[in-house]
Amino acid sequence: MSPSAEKQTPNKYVGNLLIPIIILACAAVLFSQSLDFPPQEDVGAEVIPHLWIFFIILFCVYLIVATVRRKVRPDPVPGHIGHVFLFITWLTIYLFAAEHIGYFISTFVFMAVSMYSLTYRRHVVIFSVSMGWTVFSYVIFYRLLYIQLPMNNLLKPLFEY
Amino acid sequence: MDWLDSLLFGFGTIMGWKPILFIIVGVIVGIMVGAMPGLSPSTGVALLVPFSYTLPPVLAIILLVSIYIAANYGGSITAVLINTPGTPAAACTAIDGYQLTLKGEAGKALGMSLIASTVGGMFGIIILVIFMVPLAELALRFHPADYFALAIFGLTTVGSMGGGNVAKAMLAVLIGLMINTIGIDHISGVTRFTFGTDTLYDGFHLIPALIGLFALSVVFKAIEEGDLGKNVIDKISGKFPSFSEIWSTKGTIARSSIIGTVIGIFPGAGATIASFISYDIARRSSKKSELFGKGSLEGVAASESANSSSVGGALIPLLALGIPGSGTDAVLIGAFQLHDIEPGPMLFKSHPEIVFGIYAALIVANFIMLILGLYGVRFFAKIVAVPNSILYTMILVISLIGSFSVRNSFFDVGSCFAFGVLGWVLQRYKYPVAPVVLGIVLGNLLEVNFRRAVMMEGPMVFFTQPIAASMLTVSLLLFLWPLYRNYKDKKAAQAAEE
Repeated sequence: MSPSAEKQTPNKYVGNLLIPIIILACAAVLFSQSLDFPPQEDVGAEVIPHLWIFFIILFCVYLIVATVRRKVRPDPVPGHIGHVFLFITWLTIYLFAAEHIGYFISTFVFMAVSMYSLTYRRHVVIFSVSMGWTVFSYVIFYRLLYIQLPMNNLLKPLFEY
Repeated sequence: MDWLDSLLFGFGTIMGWKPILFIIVGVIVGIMVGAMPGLSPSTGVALLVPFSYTLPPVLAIILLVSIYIAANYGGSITAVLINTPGTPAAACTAIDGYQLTLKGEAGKALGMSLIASTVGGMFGIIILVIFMVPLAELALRFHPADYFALAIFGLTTVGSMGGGNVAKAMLAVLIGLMINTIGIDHISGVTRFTFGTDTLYDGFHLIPALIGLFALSVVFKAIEEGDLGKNVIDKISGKFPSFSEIWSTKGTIARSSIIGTVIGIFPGAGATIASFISYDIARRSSKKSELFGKGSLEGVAASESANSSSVGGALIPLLALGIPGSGTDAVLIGAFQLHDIEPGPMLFKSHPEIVFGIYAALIVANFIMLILGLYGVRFFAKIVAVPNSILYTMILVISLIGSFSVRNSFFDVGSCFAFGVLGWVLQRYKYPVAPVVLGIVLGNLLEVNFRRAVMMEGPMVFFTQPIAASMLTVSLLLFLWPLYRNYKDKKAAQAAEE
């Protein structure tokens, strides 16, 4: 690609530019927080964070300059990014549901819907795997390993005995 | 106690049906994880670490190291059969292994990879057994400044993980180090970067971070790439290699095992680098170098013996110094911490049964891997054919239950998901995630020893302590070397263009 054509497509480097900028912003927030640490005679709690922040700034600035000068590889070609964000939202709903509705029901629904949304279409297998895992996790994790998985109050009497 | 005594003590520890059963389970799970394209040994070990919590420490650790060693072999199965390396380290095996499959000699390639993995793995373990205790005894005399320098040495080698971009690898390690500073400072008691939330007082737990970075990021990446089909594997064709064919590669296997073990010892450099270097050296020194890339058994042997021997090598700094030699070793540190065990020079005195049990478990795991590989390769090849949409859904629910089980906390599950997103974003833009984990793991060691050393003898201590000074010098050179190499490569490319 000619340099003029490259100049017309700045989006190809947005991701490469954004990541060090976001990291720099986070470092700035953490640095401002570290100024509130109580002062100490010896090597205080802020020394090591300051050291890391110094190096973070150094490498971020280097990467920003390298990106601006087009010395890094362009951003990867975007795939199904929308699908990933949808899936992250779905995961968040699952996390919320597992805490409030209970692990077993929400996991069964989550697995069935996830497999279907990930383009798997054999319904018998979807049901078997989801149900199989739910039963397996009850027997192994809840009963055998005593992991206190959240349980729906309505189902509690059923599972406890 | 010399190394032979320690080995016998180790065998005494693992004699019994339970340890043997856990080794067998570990090897089976390891081969399956390694064979699944996209799942690395670190992913497999990270997913299973939380479930080892309820096990006695010895059983938990031998289960995980068995997975570790077997996963390195498992990666070769799909590399040979479908030209898709199950692990990054098996990429070299695919070059010649798949060519042999195309010629109808998949059995030969699989047999050679199994034998080379077993021999290489055994070599790495022998070196581990011989050198672990002397190195740990030396480390007991270390000054805090030496420990700080050692941890810096461990971190500077991460440059090799950046795929040519040292700055990205270093930034990744700094993200990990910064994450490690969140929570109560153990020396002064000051709370740092908690943003007023009680849940962050203890910082982020290592296990959910590991699961998120290594396992969830793989799922997000696959969803983005639309990699949701299944791996189709044809019937395995051809016989296993004859004894004379195996014997003809003895020199290659011996040389590659040495290279793999030595490279494995250096933190940051791991199985992938070991297999590529060994493959290259084997190609240059072979009498049949024209066969490389077209189906050479020597090529398969070089790659597999190197990546398996690197496991033993990488365990040396982990057990003797508490410094992880690879991403999977960083995950193993998480397993040790889960059981309140601190890997390092005191480990072989405080928990000899674990150190020596690991020796014996690795040897037994190697033999079990050989048997399962000989008779079960067709079964493992079928397992690989499970559709990715089912596999990824399983990873998600295992991740949830795994991160929850550490402290029965939904905050850990949420942080696991957040680390998964972080890992996906970083990998998308070619930032390696293993250095983030190394940063989280080594952050505390670095900080505590830095501050102790300065409090004891002032900031000049790093120049007056000979071990610390020399290690910091070597670290600086190691950091500058890839930069210098990049500069030279660019100059050479420019000269070629002109």
